[in-house]
Amino acid sequence: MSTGTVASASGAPLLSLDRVNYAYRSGGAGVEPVAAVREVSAEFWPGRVSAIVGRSGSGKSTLLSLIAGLAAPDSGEVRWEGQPLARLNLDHYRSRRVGMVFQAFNLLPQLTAAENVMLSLEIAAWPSAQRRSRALELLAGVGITGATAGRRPLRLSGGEQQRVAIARALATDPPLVIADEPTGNLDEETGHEIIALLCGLARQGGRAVLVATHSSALARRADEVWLMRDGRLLPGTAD
Amino acid sequence: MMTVISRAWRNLRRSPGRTALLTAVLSVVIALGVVGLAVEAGANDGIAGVRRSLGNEVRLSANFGDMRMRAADWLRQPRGGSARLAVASMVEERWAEQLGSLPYVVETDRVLRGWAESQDIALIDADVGGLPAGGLRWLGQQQAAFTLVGGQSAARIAEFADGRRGIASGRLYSDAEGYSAAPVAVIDELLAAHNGLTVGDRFTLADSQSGRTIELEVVGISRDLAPPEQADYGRLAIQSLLGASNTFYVPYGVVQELNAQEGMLTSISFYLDDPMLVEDFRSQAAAAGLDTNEYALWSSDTQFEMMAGPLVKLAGFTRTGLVAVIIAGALVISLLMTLVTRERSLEIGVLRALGASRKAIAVQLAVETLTISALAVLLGLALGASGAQAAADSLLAREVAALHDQGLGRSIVTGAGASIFRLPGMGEFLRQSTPEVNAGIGLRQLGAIAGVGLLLALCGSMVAAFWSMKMDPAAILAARS
Repeated sequence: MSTGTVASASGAPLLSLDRVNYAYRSGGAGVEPVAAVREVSAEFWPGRVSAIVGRSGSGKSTLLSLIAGLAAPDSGEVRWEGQPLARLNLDHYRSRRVGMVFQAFNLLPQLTAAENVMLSLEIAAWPSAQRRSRALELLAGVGITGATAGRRPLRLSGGEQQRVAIARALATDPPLVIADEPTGNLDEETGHEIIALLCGLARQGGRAVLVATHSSALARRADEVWLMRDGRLLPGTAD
Repeated sequence: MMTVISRAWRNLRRSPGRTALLTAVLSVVIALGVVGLAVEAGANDGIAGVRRSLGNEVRLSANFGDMRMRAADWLRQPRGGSARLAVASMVEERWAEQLGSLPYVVETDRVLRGWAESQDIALIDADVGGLPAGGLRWLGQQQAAFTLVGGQSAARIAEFADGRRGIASGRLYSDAEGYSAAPVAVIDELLAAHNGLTVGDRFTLADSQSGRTIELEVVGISRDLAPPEQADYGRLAIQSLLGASNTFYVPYGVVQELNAQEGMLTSISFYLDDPMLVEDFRSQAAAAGLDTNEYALWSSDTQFEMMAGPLVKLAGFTRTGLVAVIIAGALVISLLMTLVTRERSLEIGVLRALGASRKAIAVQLAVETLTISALAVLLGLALGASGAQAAADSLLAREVAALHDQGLGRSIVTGAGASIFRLPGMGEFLRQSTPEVNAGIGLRQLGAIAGVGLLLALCGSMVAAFWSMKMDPAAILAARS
């Protein structure tokens, strides 16, 4: 495990942030914006697990939203392979380049596990004939097989739901996987399994895996650790 | 696009509660719309049927209601009062030309009123209320005379056309006789009895002013069929001017010939190629400057009002109801779609996070709303069609009852939508019934319902699209963490 920015000998980073700022403006006129991300600069490389640790409300989830293109920075730039996200088709970016995993799993309750995975493929316009086999293959890869793949989320355990969510995030084979507190709703043992899964994605799949977490166990297994404090991203440690 | 559509349909299938709720609410709105449209169409058909059953004639004549009031005033005045009474009953020839030139007027028919004296036959009665019997002629002083009613077609003279007078023996003069000024006459049975005349007899009329005479053959003897109370009413008002027994019904040309073209044009009948154009004809007449205080345009109006009045009210009521239902439906669907879309915020946030565009999500919601609307249209049609007739009968009965309560007539309700009216002074003569409403659904109503369904679907889709576009996926997903 190392800390701080990881240098790469070959080319540009997969994702980089350059003095990114973002503030919430939920109040009315005259209410000061609340800064959530301040002057954040960082680079993330393929094949590595990057853990962002920090207290609740420190800005971790906001930073992930900026990286996922769900929000746009007030200033600074998020770049994908050197290109500002603002110049990309963000829908295309989210459907093919980024896979997202959430603490609350966020599976659609009316769909089965397989259909939740297929949803990603539908949006990415995969050929319909290949969607089911691809979904089942991915589910099998995260340990969901047989009848479980045909169950709706409410009939799955938390660990199973998070595995389905990971399979969904991997559906379009994105180079970047973002996970926001992926073990937050899981027991310790299941959490370890999910951590192993995510680390495997980076190291065997050559993806960049970016995880916001409170889990020191997960942070310890990351290739790099960042500390988010009051909106600033600092080199950190697992402890 | 197909993926979005299939996703929408899958969502509808997988969320049966939500789908059922939306479909049920929309179905009720559509069903009410179907009932409204069917009843309105049925009422309008009924109105058209009444209008057609009452013929295509519009008769321009003096405003007799107004004239009666003036006559009553005149009777109360010292003798030598206003002479305007006679003038009021004249119709100017120019109206025949002006309104007769409207493209849908297929024929015009004039009725000319004239006067005559006779050495052969005697007037009935001496005088009534100080007035001379028979026709009132104004020649510087009032003078008793027979009244001549000259029509181009005897059958179209108002008294015969509307059934107040019928033939007791003989016949009406034919149209050929009427148009060729044949020397024939139809006389009242009381006058015939008074003078011992029968069909085939001849008598001579003279006009002391023009100095002309004409010999006429009795071809028919007529009978007054108006109920006694109406006759009494007329007698009390101005019986002598209105004619009654001292009136001859003769061809139009006979009056012209005898009175040396000076007869009084009392009415012009216009025959339209479609009875439904009556209202347009009235508008055209008003636009041409016809004074409706002085003159009346008659097209079986009393009968029309009594037969079609409840239908007109029913059509108006259902039209208003229909607008209210559509507005309420649009509000309800907007509110429901607002709630449903907000309830689906997680789904929308997830779809956005997975890369679905705002447009694709809006299209998906629109497809869902359209599908629900289509289902609702089918269900609503079935529901509405099954209840429309009962609603029509009930509403029509209510309108008929309301009409009775207004005291328009003494009436006996004989069934849903049907009634018999008895007006004071009109008796049997105006016995009419309101036709039942056939609340059927035709192509026009189907089209309108499809339109209403589409309108509601668009309304719901736009509301859903609006809220989905306003949603911030980052905030939605963050709130779940």
